[in-house]
Amino acid sequence: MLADCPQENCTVRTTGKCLLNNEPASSCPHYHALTDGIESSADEKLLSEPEQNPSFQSSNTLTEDGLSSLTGSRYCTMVGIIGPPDSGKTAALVSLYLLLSHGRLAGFEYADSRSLMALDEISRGARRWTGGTPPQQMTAHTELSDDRAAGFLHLRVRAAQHPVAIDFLLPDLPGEWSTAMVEESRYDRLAFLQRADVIWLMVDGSRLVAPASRQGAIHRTKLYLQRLKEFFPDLPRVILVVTRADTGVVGEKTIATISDEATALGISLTVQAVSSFSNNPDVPAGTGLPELVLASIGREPEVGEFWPPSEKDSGIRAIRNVLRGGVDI
Amino acid sequence: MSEHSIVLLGGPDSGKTNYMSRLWLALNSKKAELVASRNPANIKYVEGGAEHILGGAFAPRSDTNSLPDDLTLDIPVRLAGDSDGKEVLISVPDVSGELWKEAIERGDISREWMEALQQASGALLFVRVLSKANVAPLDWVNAAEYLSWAGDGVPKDEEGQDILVPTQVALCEMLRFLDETLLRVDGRRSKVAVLISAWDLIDEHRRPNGPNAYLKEEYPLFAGRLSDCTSLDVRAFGVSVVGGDFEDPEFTAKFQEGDINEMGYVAVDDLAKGSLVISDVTLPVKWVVGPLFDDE
Repeated sequence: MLADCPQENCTVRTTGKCLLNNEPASSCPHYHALTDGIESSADEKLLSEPEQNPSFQSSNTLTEDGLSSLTGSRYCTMVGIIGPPDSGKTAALVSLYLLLSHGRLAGFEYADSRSLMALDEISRGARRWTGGTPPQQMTAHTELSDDRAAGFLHLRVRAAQHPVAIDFLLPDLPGEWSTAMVEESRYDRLAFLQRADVIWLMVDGSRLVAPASRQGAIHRTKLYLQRLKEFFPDLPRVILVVTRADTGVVGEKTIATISDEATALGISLTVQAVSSFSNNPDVPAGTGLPELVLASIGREPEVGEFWPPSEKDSGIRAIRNVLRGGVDI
Repeated sequence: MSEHSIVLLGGPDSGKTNYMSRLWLALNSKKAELVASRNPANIKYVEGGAEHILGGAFAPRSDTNSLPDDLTLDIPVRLAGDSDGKEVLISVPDVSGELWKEAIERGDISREWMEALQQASGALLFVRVLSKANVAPLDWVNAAEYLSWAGDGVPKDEEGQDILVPTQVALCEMLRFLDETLLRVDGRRSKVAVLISAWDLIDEHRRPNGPNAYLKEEYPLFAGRLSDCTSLDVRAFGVSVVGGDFEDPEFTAKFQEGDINEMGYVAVDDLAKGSLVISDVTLPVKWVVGPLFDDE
């Protein structure tokens, strides 16, 4: 038993023997047992772990499991967002959020989000897979572990033409997962695409314009379409989202080449140019996003940009659609 | 006498303490639609604020470290003109704005305050016009900068400070907290009054458009959320506790010579008549606790 004694030279603490020869030592009036105190303080230490505050429901991204609570009560339009790093996926989500934050998403109003804090954190760069930073500047890719499931952002909007609000589920994924699908056939983490209502295939428009990168970008885009069809035979319709529309207009021939590949693969493809951010005063930031949202409602296209396989002027229509992205919002 | 509590939510400098102090003065005056049947036992907290207001100054912020009991006004009220009518004891804990700010950032709150929320059957949610603590949403220039942030950790603003949650996001989150926790009495939807304090500071040409139009212009996300919310009964009120700004010496002089019972008003949207201005600052609370007077 641990004990202490205030008497000078008493060694009861270490030897258990009383300086005044009391036997047992505990019968000494100066004897002071420590055992109970130590035990109780140990107990207290265990018990006094800081109490966890009670939490509210999460306002973070929704896991695939967590989606069921939402999808069980209402129809949600799931958008599969695919594209390599720096293709503008995060930028499009952020710009969409900013448009709603400023009441400027033409034809739409914000209604709700189960992941509002996550959307806000993405907009201020506090949560990012790729962002606008080149891959070499990204923080350590610990998030890319294989067991990391897709996180979904929920966004409920009211559209001027629709009597009921529309719920969108937008995945928050690193571009590397898309690259891994194309280059390494790693499509397991993208299994949710089978359940998607529409796919946004994000392509950096500036790469489709610049002569030095144009052919490479076309090739990669075609490869994306091939892989998507290969891994997800029942692929939903695809919207080719041509980003960075403020930097230039993608050529007719370029779009036609990509759309011909989609036709050959049996993929329903429409094209929408967007400029999530802009350095061009003639193309305001957010250009094309209201049209993209409108075109994404439901399983079938809302606006007539369905790509008829036999239509000869398909390339021209694509270009019109690209140019349409330049309207003021 | 039935007992009910209503909670006050709002970020820092959103006008909660000033409203509570002014509410106390109005209930005590027995000239408003809601009157204090008797004076409560403990009025230290609201008397502190009332002293400032009556002297011609707004009350300072509530203490962050206070517990619900320290900042609670427990007051029996009844409807005016019905001296034998039913009494309802309302208990209104004023939570520090800093505490709500932390709750939004972390998604949790201390057990005491969580219980205060769960025991409340209604709420007053505050946002103050032109408060320096209000945070505007990011614009595209700032967001582009933060998205391409190459520094360590999360991006910081120009002063090296954390980027704050925009006020409209905080309001949406606080409404969510209420939706998750408020007590539904007899299965009724709980009432949440959104109080836009310092309503008198809004430009004269905008004020007649009413509180909902103001929310839509200033806080599109929050206004959209309010329109979509069916699980709570929500109504917006513009509130001016004394009808002017104590920063204005001319107004302060006028106030000090006048009668506080004739000062202060509430603006509400009326479907038929547009925006109405009513000289009764108890109105939002009367609306929140109104159904309780009808209960058996």
